[in-house]
Amino acid sequence: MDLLLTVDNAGKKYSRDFKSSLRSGARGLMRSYLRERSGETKGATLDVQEFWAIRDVSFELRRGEVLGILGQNGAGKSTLLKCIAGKLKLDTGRVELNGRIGHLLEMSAGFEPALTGRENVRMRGRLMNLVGKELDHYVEEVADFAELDEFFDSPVQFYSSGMRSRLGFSASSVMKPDVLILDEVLAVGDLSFRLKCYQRINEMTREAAVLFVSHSLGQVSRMCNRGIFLQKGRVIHDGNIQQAIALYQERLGDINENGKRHTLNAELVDLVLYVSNSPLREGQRVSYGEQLALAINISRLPKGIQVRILLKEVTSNVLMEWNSTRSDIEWPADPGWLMADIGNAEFNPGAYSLSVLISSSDGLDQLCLSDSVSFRVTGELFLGSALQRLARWTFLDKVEE
Amino acid sequence: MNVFWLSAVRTGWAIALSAIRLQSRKHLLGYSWEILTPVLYAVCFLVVKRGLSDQSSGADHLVDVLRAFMGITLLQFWFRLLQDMSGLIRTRRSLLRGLNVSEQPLVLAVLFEALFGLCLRVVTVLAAMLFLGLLFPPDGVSWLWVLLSLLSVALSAAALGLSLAPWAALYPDVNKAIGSFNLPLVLLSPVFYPATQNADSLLYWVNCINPAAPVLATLMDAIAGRPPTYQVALVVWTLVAVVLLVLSARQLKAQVPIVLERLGA
Repeated sequence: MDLLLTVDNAGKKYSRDFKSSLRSGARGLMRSYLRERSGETKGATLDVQEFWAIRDVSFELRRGEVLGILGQNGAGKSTLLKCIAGKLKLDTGRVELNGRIGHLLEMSAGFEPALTGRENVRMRGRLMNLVGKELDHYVEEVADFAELDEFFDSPVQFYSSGMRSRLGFSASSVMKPDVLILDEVLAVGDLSFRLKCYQRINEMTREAAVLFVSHSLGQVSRMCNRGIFLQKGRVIHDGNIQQAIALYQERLGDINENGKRHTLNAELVDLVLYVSNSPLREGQRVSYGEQLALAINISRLPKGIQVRILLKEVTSNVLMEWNSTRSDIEWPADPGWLMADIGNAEFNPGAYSLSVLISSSDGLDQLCLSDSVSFRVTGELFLGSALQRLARWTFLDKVEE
Repeated sequence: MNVFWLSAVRTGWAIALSAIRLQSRKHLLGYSWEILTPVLYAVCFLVVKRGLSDQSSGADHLVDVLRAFMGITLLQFWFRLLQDMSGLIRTRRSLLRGLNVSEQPLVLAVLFEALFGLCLRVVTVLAAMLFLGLLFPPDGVSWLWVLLSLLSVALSAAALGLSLAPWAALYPDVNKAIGSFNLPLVLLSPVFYPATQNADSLLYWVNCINPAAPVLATLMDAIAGRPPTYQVALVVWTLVAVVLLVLSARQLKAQVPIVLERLGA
């Protein structure tokens, strides 16, 4: 496969404060008059107010590879993409491109609000060096894809944000680059349009080398065949995408466990997570399918309350909920601990947490939101969602219809 | 002309046309705003001059009015182009950041739009000459000096503006400085008084280092059919402007990423 992109020892530093950033910008401009190239030794040192956004990043990308770049906010993903796209200047190292580069970074860039969608798209086409019939064909292709109908001939300032995104994606995605950069581009429009976007991107990635950044692990695992995990600007992992995802989840789990979360009167309840009938010990991993139960000390709370157990993934999305009012609980005179058997840990490997939300019996007044109990599930990772329940599968000759 | 430049010229022209269309669409009076200020200046100058000097002969009087009108028209053009060019990176930052577009078409677009504005102003000045009953330059050589002067005024503004563009994007002070030079430059240029012919005077040398003064002096000389007094300064400024424009345009590729990084969203 053709080698299309080489990133060698790339480093980019930023300043923490405005004045120092301007100073370093002015120094950069002065150096540009002296025709100094990046990668020279002067760029390798840090001033007091500076920090490395990316450091010593090296990798190669060949045609057909779809590289997912993972990392927490501030890890350097977008900086790396902008350096490769030539939008930022590296302080150390080099980027070597063999072929045309295309990127979907700021898709609505350059749209003039007073011009119509058609005029803006035409201008975009001209900026892509299209003329004559090629330009007309481009405008029609964008009009078809964006499905803005009569709004295509209205000024862009009257568009909704969704319509503007549709136009931006449609106008930007008509290209056949060798190296394609995609940064959080698939959050466009409604579901049907998003599916069209997936299809368009799949077509574009077929013949190109792709760099893909998204916080949606589902998208990353679906699209990428290789992954890089960045932490504080450095490459921690370069290789299998599933390992990169696992590493990312692991680090997010660490942050979740150490981080401060929102609570409300958390001291009113105590939680103990039982895994296969034993309390979860520190550092203990939960195997796929193990039985889970949560013991909740409700002795400091009034009787007849509503207890909701929330299962969250590392991104704090609630995956599942168990509500006590759905089960007819008979409250004892003096309740101590409430034990909830919440089934088996039928989850994809990763970090999860359980917390308890206590409300009044009608569910309107929130009395308490507990601290979370974090745990990690191990086992084989299968592509798809976090919850992967076991079903009873049976082969039958025929079924009643 | 190689393919890159051909495509840059085409794209630049398309951007300029779109900007002109936009200007006409956004403003009720469209491009006439470009000549309203000089006309107002000329009227004010006419009134003040009539009130102050009754002695001047009719023809001198009309030449003074033309000089004021043309001077303000061209100086306004010069400042406008200087500001547009120096603000290029800041105003086009979203395009430069978001798309695969090189800087050259954007520079050319500013230049093309300015040339359109210059043509409009030249037509206005010619109309003013007809209105005032003044004669056009008498011979081909004078017309050549007129053309060189117009070229020089555009090139010097574009070159200075482009060389300042990365700095203006980094430091807003640059734009403030350009704005604060506006009135002093009008006063130092031969707009409300004829250009001095005396090479021993300080004002003569001030005029030589002022990029707009040789242009205005040469135009007035050409209209009067006199040999130009500031021809050396005009030619030197034109050559310096060409070199500065080419060098600044070549620097942009390296400078734009440095500036964009600090411009924010």
